[in-house]
Amino acid sequence: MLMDKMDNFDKKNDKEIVKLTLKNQDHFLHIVKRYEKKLLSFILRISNVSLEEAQDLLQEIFIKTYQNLNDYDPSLKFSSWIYRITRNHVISNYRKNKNKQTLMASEVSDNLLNNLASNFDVTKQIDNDILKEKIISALNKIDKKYREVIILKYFEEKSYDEISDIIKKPTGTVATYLNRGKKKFKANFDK
Amino acid sequence: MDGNKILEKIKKEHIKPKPRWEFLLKNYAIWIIFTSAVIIGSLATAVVIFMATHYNYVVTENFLTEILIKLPYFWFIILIVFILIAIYNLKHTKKGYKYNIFLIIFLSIISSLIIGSIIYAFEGGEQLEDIFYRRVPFYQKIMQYRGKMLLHPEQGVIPGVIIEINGDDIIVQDFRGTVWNITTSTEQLIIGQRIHLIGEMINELEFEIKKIEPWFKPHRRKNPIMQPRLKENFQ
Repeated sequence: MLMDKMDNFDKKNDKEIVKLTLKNQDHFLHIVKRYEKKLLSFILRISNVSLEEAQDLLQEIFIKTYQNLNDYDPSLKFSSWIYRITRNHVISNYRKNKNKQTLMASEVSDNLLNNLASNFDVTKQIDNDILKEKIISALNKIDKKYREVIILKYFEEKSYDEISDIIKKPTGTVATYLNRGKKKFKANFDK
Repeated sequence: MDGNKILEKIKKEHIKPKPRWEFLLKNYAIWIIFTSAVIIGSLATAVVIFMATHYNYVVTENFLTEILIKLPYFWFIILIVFILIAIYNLKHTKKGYKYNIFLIIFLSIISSLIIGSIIYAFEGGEQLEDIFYRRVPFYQKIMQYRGKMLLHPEQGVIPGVIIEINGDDIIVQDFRGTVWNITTSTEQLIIGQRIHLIGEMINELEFEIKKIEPWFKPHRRKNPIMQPRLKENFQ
């Protein structure tokens, strides 16, 4: 019976679940389940907090999301909206604690590594672990504003429009940041 | 992470979604402030256009200095401040971030210019400037200071304000505080109007007034240049 219910919800889109959650808070569990893994890895990618801290942040983010559900504009993708809340919460946490935001090497899978190597036009003729370290080191040297766009594009696989909605910048600016970020990355990588 | 824990926390701490009206109110407030800023910016534009096109340059020895003194700085500042407020608020509307900042700046300036020109065409700029001069002490002080800077009897120019009209007599107080009693045609003159006494300085106590010119050329009325029949200076 419970499985049937879960299956029903799997077929529903985010917007429908938001509507249902506003009528019955229990449905919020489906949003949490749908996004917890994605957001946890996003937090870890854009900050250098520990897993425990990331989990605490994620809990705060979900509570914040729940409190602001009535502010959700259905013309926007729900995933963009919740990523935006996450990004803003991580940034305000960073400002509070002055943690340096760095990308963690553990957050780069081999699959992602191949994708990054081809997208950034860098050589793959070195050991994967060394390449991974080099990529991470080059990314961490880039300005935060360029790095987060690169992370959203290549790690989170978001479109330009989605990135624009997440970081609240025009699509043109997203494209500019991405181009500049890639150039800076290449320069750092080749050093 | 256990999603049930989050739900438990929500239930235990009675956390509720903030009501929709709170967000709507915030959103409406942003749009209302934006609209008000555009309107105020447009009003300032109307006054800037009026002042720039209707200043009666009486041509003192240093015309450039006269232009610099007469530039409508106060209204320029109001215009810039409210354009910035409009831009800030438009950027903070729900979809405001989607637009390029330069496009927003350009549109804010263009809309202020267009609406301001319409207000100016209906004499709104002239009326607003006059209301400010009569009712806003701070603005009055700025104008008095400007009047003092333009006061050059040796060059034949004394700026002042009409403080009384009695039949064919007008009483003018210049910006040093000197009071002048002049007999002239009082048609189109009103109490509180800023004017220039144009003439020739005879000595430190006497000034022969040849004509009276308003600070601003009237918007649509005929330009009143009065020929005084009698002049008398008393303090």
